[in-house]
Amino acid sequence: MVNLEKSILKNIYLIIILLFLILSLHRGTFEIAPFIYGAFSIILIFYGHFIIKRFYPNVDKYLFIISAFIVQFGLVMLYRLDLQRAVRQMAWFAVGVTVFIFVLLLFPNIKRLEKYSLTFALLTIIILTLPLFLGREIKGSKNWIQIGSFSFQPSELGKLFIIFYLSGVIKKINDYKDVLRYSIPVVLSIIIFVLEKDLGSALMFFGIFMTMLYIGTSRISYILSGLGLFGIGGFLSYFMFDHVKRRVNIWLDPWKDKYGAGYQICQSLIAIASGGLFGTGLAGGHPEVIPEVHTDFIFSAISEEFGLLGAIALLILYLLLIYRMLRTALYAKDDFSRLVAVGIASMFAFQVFVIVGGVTKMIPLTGITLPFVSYGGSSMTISFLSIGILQKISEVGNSDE
Amino acid sequence: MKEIAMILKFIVIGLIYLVIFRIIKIMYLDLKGINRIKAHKKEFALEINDAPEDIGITKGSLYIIHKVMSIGRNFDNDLVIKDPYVSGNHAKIFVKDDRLFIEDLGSTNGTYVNGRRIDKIEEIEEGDIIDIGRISLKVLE
Repeated sequence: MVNLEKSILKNIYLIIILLFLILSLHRGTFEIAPFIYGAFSIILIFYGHFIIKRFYPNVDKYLFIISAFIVQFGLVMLYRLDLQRAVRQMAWFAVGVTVFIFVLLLFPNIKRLEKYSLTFALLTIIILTLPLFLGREIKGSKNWIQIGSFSFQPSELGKLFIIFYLSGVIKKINDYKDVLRYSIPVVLSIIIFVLEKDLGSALMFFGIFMTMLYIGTSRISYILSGLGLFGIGGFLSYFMFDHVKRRVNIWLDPWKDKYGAGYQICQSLIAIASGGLFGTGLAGGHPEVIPEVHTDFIFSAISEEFGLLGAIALLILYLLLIYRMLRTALYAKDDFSRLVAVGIASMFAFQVFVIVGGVTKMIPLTGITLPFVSYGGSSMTISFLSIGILQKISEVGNSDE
Repeated sequence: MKEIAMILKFIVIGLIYLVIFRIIKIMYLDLKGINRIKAHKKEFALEINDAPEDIGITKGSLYIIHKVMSIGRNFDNDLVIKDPYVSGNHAKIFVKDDRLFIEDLGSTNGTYVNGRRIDKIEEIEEGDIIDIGRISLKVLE
């Protein structure tokens, strides 16, 4: 097992070196800069893995290994698209690994947070309403806080808070009245998101809530009525809000306005199609014509340059990561930790589904980040924070065996 | 240079799938490991087969063997036999890899498995009769 783990890490290092070798070759001459960048990445993975092995030999190391591997797709893609952003993203990767190690070494047992569910509910609402007052509108969504030159997306942190809140209260649910009472913070957040025009996060909050409710109570009737209400809500918001209507119309037929509103999704589909099975090769395609390719549409760029096989490999890696998270949930010692693990797993699952479904025109496009891959500090930090929390749960779960 | 990059592209995709395959292999081994632990968790016990009435152990009583069970006349043993024919630290029974072993700790009168005196460590199985001093124990699973 240990040997296999080492050879997996060696393979990952080799992949990183090869990817940057391709990048350094693509202009016809050999360049050294991509290798330095790649070496940073290798050092970070090595360091993170070393810390886990040194201090917690019992914990699930694959959570970290798989996430670090997924990060490489984003780093190499960003390096190819936009050097300045790539350097910043590497810094965020370093911050992410640091946060991960901090959570692992210093965080108390997750179970202790169970008592503060009301605090978490309040924090969620406060942090989500902040952009309405302080925020500025970026790309049609008012979901950013800017302090100086540092901007921050509070919905990312809000997701974790709502998971902690729900894990605390779901056990107390006995009938429909309880469901209504405890779902107030979730419903409020979804309304805030719709007002902020951040539909992707609204969808994710709903998905997380439904998953955790089902896992916690195992009653299908709650889920069915939730889906019914969501359907009615979605139908009404289609007529009430212009931005919802516009999104759905673009989704139904992007080609009607292919130089205007539908431009982004059309370019994304063209990029994915031109990739074919094996892809155009790194730096061989033209994904830079897609607007926002470094954040929301990075999956299209990966599909174009790594091909269908590369894109599927990325999705398999997400699948394995989520499987590993659910495994952590199975091994957790108490219900609270178990629900937190399930919540985080469903958060990743819905996030990947919503954005990959969006860029491939399977569902209406809503701008959220692809965890670990998209450019963005908030997303990277929160993703590693979640992995750290799961690692902590797995450590407690394995400790007295 | 472009051609090399083209070839490397296929190598990279191959390697990515190799990593995925290896991770899946580890997870598969991990799942099998869980099943093995669950399926083969054996528990052993000792039943008092025969004992004289004056040593405070009733015939037919059961002693579950956790990882290790020490037998002897001293009070710090797991199974205390107040019999002058039993040594202070007489013998030790332990479980290793789901198998049961008995070790004689240099007793004066010896430990017998199925009527045969044992030297040092010997594996025992369900149904074996162990004689220590004047008492007789039966291994149960």
